[in-house]
Amino acid sequence: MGIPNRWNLPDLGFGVGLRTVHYPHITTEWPKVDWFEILSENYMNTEGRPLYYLDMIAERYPIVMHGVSMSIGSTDPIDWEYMKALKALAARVKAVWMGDHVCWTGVAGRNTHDLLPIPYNEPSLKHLVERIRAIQDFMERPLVLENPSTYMTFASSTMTEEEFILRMAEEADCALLLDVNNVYVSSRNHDFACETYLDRIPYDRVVQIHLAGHTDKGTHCIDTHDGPVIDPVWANYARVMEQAGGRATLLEWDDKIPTFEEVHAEVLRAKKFRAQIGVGV
Amino acid sequence: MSKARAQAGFDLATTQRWVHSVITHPGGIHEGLASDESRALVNVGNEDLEKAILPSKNLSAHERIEIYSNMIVWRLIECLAGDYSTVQHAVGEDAWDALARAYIAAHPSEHYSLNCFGAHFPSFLRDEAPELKNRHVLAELADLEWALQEVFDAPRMEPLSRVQLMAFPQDLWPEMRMKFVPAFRLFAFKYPVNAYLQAVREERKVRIPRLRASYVFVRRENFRVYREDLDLPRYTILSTLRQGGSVGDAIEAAAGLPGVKFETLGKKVGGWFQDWAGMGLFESVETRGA
Repeated sequence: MGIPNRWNLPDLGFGVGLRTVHYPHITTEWPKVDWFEILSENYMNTEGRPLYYLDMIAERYPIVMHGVSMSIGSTDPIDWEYMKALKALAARVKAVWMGDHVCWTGVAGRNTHDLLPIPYNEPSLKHLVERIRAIQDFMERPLVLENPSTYMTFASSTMTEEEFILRMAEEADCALLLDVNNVYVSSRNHDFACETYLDRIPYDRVVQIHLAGHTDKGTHCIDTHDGPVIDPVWANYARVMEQAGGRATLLEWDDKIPTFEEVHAEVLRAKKFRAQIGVGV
Repeated sequence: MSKARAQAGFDLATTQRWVHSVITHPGGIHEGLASDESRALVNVGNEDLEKAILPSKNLSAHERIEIYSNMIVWRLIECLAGDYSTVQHAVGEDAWDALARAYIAAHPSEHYSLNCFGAHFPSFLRDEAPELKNRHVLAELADLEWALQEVFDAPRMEPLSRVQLMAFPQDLWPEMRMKFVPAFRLFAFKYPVNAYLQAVREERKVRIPRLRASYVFVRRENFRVYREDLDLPRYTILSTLRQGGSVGDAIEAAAGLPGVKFETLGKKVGGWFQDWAGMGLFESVETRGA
């Protein structure tokens, strides 16, 4: 059932974002979690405790790398030193796959450390596709790029986000990480229907799903990763499962982080949506 | 989407530089939009921002772009507060916010890792914040807090064990020179900043320290970072070694300190080296002719 991804990357099951506060629990209890996703940059400029824990955890669990500083959409030259460090880390932890976001984080040598939106138009698409191809060649593996939460729309955009991502994925031949919380957040911020967005995603390129909580400000939503997943986001997940079938599913929780058991229990709620469509877990 | 909307665009590089100049402007987005820098890139200002950024059903174009501006500043202030929690405590919440914003404006992040963002904060306090009350103490406090970060992230190196160090024949010791592990920092401060930092961490009421020399080293053991005060003889020995001097030079420098007797020092120094080796401070030893 569903659509296999074109790289035959595995359905890893239900994973949790690896966070510092959970290191002691994980490395003493060795919980029965299917896999971990790491924030790549947390382990790239250090040889201290985080890497020590990561080495131990990577020996026992599959690791997926998810970054925030690739700045794939930036018009600055590609930071090859960063790419080398990323590739080295991937080799070290035997990353099942690696990725980042469809965004830019800085320009003119400056880094905002925020995921900034790009205008969804032909020049941006061409620029992004060229960079994704170059980085994939260097990494010798497909990049897994995530749809970001966005808060503003450029007047120069000529296509919807889902159309842009669809074309980007096909023209660059990259993989996708579909964040169904980001789809919800952006739908509220840009007033579009999640269903329309989700029904256009090329699921043969989706290898991973993100779930997360967000903050609803009434007039808009902010992707804060500070709480449980709300029902409309679960509805997005269910819709994706119906169309795609089983996909590696991960819960992100980055602020007001509860105990590991609570985070793990939250992602395991996804099991029932898989059960509904008869996808094994 | 319409062709007319597409024509409202600018090339991607210009668009990004413009967005960056607006959302990182120290005065906020309204000043950013009015600035010469942003106007030179894209001739859109507060009055016609909708030409570049569309409003949403609920938010104006200004409110939408301001979300990014606010998040960037918030994240960087949080990062700085994480690295310099004791400096933050010392200056107080209100002054901290202004100080952090001034630093963000003076030293925008240029590295992919947020870990590096606070690297210039001690020198900023020392040299670029002349109006800041107690800035000399705060700069030393920042030196110490940054050292904790650096030592936390420093490269791993298998240190020389106590047994390995003590196995060197006695006659070689005077000429031995020590290479320290990367996870080691040594300071001579004008203020007792380590004691202050400790008091703040223990949530004890404490005043900004007054001028009194203190000596501190920071090290890592089993991936935990430790900071310890030193007396002047021990600091002098470590400092001499750190600067490339031999063990003989170091002991001679310490013996030359007022009130230090060579015989007394001689009885203690062997134990000090054993302690330091036990803490994993030395990476290797260079002996004469080696």
